[in-house]
Amino acid sequence: MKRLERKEWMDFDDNNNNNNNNNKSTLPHYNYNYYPYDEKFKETLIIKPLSDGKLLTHFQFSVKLLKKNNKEGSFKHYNYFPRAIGQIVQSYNARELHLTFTQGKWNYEDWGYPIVPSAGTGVELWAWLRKDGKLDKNWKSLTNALAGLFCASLNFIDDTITVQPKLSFKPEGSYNASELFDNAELRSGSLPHENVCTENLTPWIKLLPCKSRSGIASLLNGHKLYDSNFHSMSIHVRPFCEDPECINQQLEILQTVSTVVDPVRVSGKRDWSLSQVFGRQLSNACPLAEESNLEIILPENGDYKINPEANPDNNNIVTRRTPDVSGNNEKIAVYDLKKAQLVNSDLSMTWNEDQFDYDLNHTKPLVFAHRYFTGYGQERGGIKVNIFNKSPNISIPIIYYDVIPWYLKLYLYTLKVQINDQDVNSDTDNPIKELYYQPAVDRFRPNVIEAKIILSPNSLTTLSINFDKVFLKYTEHPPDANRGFDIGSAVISTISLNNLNDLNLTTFRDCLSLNNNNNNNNLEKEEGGIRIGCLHFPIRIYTETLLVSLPTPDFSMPYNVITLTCTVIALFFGSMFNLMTRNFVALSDNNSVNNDSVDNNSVDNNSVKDSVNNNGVNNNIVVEEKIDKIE
Amino acid sequence: MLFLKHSQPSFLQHIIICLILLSFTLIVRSDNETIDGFFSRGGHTNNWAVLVCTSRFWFNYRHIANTLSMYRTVKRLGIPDSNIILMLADDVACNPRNVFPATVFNNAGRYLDLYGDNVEVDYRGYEVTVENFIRVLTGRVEPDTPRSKRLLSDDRSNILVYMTGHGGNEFLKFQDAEEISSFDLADAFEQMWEKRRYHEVLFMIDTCQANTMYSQIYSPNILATGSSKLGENSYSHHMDSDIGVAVIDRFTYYNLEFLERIDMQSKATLQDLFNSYNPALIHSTPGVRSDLFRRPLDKVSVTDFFGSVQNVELTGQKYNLSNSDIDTEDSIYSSTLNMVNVKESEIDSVKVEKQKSRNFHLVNVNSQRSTSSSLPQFLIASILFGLLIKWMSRKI
Repeated sequence: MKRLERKEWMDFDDNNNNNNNNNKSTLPHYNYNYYPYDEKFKETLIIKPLSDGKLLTHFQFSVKLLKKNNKEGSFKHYNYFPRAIGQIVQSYNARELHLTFTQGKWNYEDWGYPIVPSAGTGVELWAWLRKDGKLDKNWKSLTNALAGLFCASLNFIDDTITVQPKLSFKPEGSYNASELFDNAELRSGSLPHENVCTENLTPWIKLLPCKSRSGIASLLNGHKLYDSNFHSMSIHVRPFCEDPECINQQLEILQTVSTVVDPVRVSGKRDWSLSQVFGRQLSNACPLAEESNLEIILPENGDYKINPEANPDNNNIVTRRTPDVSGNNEKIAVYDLKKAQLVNSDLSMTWNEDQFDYDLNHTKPLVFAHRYFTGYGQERGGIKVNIFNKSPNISIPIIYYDVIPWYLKLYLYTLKVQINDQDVNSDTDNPIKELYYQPAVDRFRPNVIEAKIILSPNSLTTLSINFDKVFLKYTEHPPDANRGFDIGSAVISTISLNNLNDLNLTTFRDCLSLNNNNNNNNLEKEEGGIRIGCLHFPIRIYTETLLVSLPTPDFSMPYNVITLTCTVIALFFGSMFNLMTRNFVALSDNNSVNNDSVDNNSVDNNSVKDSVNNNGVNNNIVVEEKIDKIE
Repeated sequence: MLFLKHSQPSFLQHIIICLILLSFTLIVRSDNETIDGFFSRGGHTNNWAVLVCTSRFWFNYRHIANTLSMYRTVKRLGIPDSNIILMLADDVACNPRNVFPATVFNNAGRYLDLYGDNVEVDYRGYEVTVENFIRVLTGRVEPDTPRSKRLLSDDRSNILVYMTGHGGNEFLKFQDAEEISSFDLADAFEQMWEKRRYHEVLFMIDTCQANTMYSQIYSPNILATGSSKLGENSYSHHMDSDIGVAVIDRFTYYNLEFLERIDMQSKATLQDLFNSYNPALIHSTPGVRSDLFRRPLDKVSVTDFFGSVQNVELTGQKYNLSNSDIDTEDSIYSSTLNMVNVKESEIDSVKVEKQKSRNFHLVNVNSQRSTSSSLPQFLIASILFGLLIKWMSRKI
């Protein structure tokens, strides 16, 4: 029983926690004969004031598990590494797993790039699965298992929306070069309409070694988390090589939660404190964590004060390169929670200003994009994407990736590229260097567009394509059909712009560690033909999700048709039947009064009688004639 | 070998085989009877709850609040999340219209956040369909379906089926798009009975003309109650003007008023619950259908369906887990092992230190006990079998 196991596991873990509290020195390295793995747990909370007055909080929990001698079968005992995930990854032969729950849209222009690539609204799942002959079955089982674990409708990722991207979503772990692409395949799917709420956070928190009972995770409060402008919750499982031959491997699970809250909405000022943002205070580090840091990324300018202050004498303020804007250094105040710097104090940041004034000249990221629908009516339409390159002198290569469901029929010949609103005519000018297009098959697979595009300096590149809207079957509409259908985000992958010297798309190996501060485990060397290094794109830009309304039938129509048809049939059939079975006879006035039954064999003498009376004086004669005719 | 030689066994052989089989069934029967008395008065060993809200859209907030109120109640009374199938057709907690994000309240006073920090919704949104509901009940789910989405009940399971939504005469709407009829429901229950998927069912429904929904049920051991009779509407209880919509329905509200006073040790019976229904307060006529149910209602505890209460005697003393050579790390495993060993020796008084979900140990203990008590039957069976062998070999 999966959940029961989870519960038991929690009990077991609780036991560990208790032991640990009593006897801090024995854990986390207890009894190595019994448990031959080296596990490290690290927790970080990064807080970053954003240029539009909002506040980004980013939780990051990483458990690294050393697999000695790279034995698949030896990975059986779990300590910090969540068993629920470990079992899923092992039984469905997943090499890498990336699952993200997001609500809201990351505002790239105002907020820069997120610390860990977020995802479009809804749920996004992509995984590298080993080729073992039942890969597609494994993918289906994987979606179902994750659906059960995270209380989400991930089982809706079926064939019709599953994609195998060719250029995007490269492996993020590090591998022996020989097995980088050979023994695994990528599957990806997203559900843009999926809600994210407490029921998804609950199982996510249960995967953490300390749950939400101590450490940074104790700040995770669903009521505050879901009262935000943007929130994204993710799980990334990926292996890392420990040595060039990849004999010893690390398996890392990285869990992140990012939220963007708006203190300006509350007070008109940018000031924030932990208790205001999370409704709770941070008391201690998780005892199981090897590192437990709270980091504040300090704004470049502004008159602000942090209380309690990070002490610069103890090297608590460090600088490091930002992941986004080319090579800038950012200053970070680091609080080591293991040293109990924050006990009984509510960390807060105050600005010396009466109210927040929006800064119009804040630095914008180099690449961002917007996507929207064009056209009108229920028959056809178009999609347009504007991709900006704000760099004054550098061409930036990107990969554009878009999945359009089968019920929008794309026409590839209508694909048009414009640069700064000028049509591109010659092939040499065409910024699309490579195009991969998978046409949709009705009720079977979606449209996929993937393109390598070189964005020229300081330009706006516009892609547009037209489509027809398919007339769906009556039963294919969702219960709230009039709401429309969600089209997931397009994804623009690009390299870290720190590394602009190395722009060759096929060789860049920028392996920006998601943990930023140490790159020990990300070997990026070529040794004797074996290349280890992650090929992933550190920056992924997600565009807006779109809502398209398809021709929607009137769902009460069958009822209306049935009632209307029945009425017509009843009227027509009834009157015809009446006319054909009745025998019309007329009576003379005298006869009818005394003994109509004798004179007439027919039934309907009253009506005849009426007409007779209406005729007035000469009625006798007329009536007799009628009777003759009828009889 | 014997049977191979004699292609047609004689009449006497048949009789003897029948006798043997009969003696074995006797053993099994006595097993069941012991379990009956041991775990609960009602004869069930486990509890399940299927809680369904069939309404989508914000203005049906109250239906989700109804369902979550029942979810909270059964969880409070001891049914674990793994035994609750919760179906919610919409997400009101994180709905943009909700001014209190990630909360659902069933009272304008907002005393209690039903969503809380620990909620597991098994079927949500578009997954709440008639097909999925019937598949859950009958167990005809796809092989990949995770355990959390399956009703893994057996013939010793007491199941609470609670439904709420918009309905009419003999139907209940799912998401304003499809309906389940009372006949579908009755057939689903019959299939459950045929597949021995329940011991007893309490079917509770809060919708307009609710009592018509259980009118077609024909399978045994099903007790049904509904909020209103044919031609009557079911009404909401009150609204919260900050949330902007009604927060709970009357029938559920008054059920909860009773259930909130119940704890796991409560001796209240279903008769008490049904007696508490006041048509004047509910604004409709609640119905109870007990003709298919075998036990008298005043003998059926409310916790037989709304809780998961095992007949375990609690003591104030701790059991000494001896074996000092075991490491503290392994203590939790060793303790469970110990528990089983000890229970096998001390069969007569099952006293468990903590009433935790370790029932499977108790089952082991119990079956041990029942086999020993049916030893004479086993002896008779083996003697008969020996005689049979002897007789047949003589014949050859």
